[in-house]
Amino acid sequence: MIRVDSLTKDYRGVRAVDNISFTCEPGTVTGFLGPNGAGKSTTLRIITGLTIPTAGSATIGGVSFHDIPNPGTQVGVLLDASAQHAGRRGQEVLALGAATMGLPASRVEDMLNLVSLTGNEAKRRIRHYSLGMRQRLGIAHALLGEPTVLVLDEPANGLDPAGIHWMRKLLRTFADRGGTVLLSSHLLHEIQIIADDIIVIGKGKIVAQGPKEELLKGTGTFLRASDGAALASALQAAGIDATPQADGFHVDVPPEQAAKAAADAGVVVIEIRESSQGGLEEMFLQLTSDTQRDALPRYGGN
Amino acid sequence: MTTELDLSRADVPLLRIVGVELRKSVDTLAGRWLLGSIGIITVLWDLFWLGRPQELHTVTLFVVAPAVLQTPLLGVMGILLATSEWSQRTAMVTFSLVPKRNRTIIAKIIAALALTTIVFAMSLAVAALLAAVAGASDPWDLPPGAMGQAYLGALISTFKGVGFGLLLLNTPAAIVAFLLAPLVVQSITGLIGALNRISDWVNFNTAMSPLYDDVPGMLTGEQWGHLISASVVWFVIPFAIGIWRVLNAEVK
Repeated sequence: MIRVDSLTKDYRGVRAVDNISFTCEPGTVTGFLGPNGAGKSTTLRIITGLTIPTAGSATIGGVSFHDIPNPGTQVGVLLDASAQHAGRRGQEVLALGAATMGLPASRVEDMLNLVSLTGNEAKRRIRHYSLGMRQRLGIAHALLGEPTVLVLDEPANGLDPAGIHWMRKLLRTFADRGGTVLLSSHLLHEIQIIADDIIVIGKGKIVAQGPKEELLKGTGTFLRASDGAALASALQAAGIDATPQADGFHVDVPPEQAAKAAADAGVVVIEIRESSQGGLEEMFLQLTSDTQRDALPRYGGN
Repeated sequence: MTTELDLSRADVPLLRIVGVELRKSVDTLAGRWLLGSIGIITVLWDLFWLGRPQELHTVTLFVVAPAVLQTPLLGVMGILLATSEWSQRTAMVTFSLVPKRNRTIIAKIIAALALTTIVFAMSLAVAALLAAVAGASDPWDLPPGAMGQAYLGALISTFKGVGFGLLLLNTPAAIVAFLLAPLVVQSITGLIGALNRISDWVNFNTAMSPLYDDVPGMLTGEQWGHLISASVVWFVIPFAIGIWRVLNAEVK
């Protein structure tokens, strides 16, 4: 279990992480979501002992990272897939890790297969790797020592959609076997695909946390019929307030209730879905635009 | 899969970390070229030495002569051992596998010691071979003092590099400082009259040169004093500050 308790980190007057607390339970994948510069990476570096916090503490299994014996065999870490010697071959990176942890050399081959890096790719030097390949190599390195806890910073960065689904399956299996996973992302849809629990961070503070279903629960239903007027009166008859939206209606009741009202009046509904208005997506967009660093270009260009 | 950590597990033994550090120094082209070029330069310089009068073809001089080029390269080797983790950003991986940073520093020091010893042994082997083939009438002069001094000079050069590397944690900056700083200090102490007196005590190159005299002999007491004092300035101090820096630096 990862436990972060009242953690704060200051950099020369700038508070990068502001009194945050959360836990990651075994058997779950926790997504750490926030815009760039929100304090995600700093928090993950503190958890893995690479950055000293200003106040508060971070522990894994009840102890600080420095006190975990042979930590590579217990906590798999991938903080920056590009932080590798450009002149080293992919398989050599894994071989060095295996040697440090005292693992048999056969683990290297196993991990290369697991992340689908071919023998040829493994023999290439890292400078020739795409970001996606570096991420796969980094995941392989994190899993090398058969850890029970994973800490991954933006692991889906540079992966194609198929790669993201592959990672979701990999982490799902890992968590289902009792493992604890904490991963970060600045993209809501990645976290939506991969995580069970979500922690949202902005400007160093946690702004929301909880199970994914709860945070992503829609605030209502959007539905559309070929006969808009008939649908409007059907909803009215059922006592449901309907707001016109696009070529349909937004209602503040669950999809089931809205569909029933339409069915009772014999109205044919051609589209119905949980509306994503409000909720996490809006909050996240708000956070992102608050911390948006780049002004739109004034003079054309890109 | 157990869900709690195993805190009774054995930690990574120091010797294994040393082994990994040695492997890291030869598993990239840059590392291999550096060590290879030390070997090539040693051989070339010794071949050049063959052009000198035959009475100079002794094992000792074959060892001492290439030192003029070997020592800066040993320094670069020491620098790379300390800086490449930071310039190539692998420190993140290294310290997440061995979070007690002092253990990695100790392992790097032992690796530096081992590599310097291997280089010195290689020089000795080349020297012995050349002396046997083209030696002076009595090539097997092996005064242990002179040999020890040459070995000491190699070690100081390597560790001066490690010290500068730890201090600056940046490969190009450390190499430039390593090569230029002693020259700058030498010029300043030479130019300013008031500093002339301390010149011998702080100048690295002049303090080192008696170790490699053309006719090697034991250092005098005063020369030892100069060497120790210059080593404190150029190797002990950067080393101490550098270790403090690595132990406290944020790794990103």
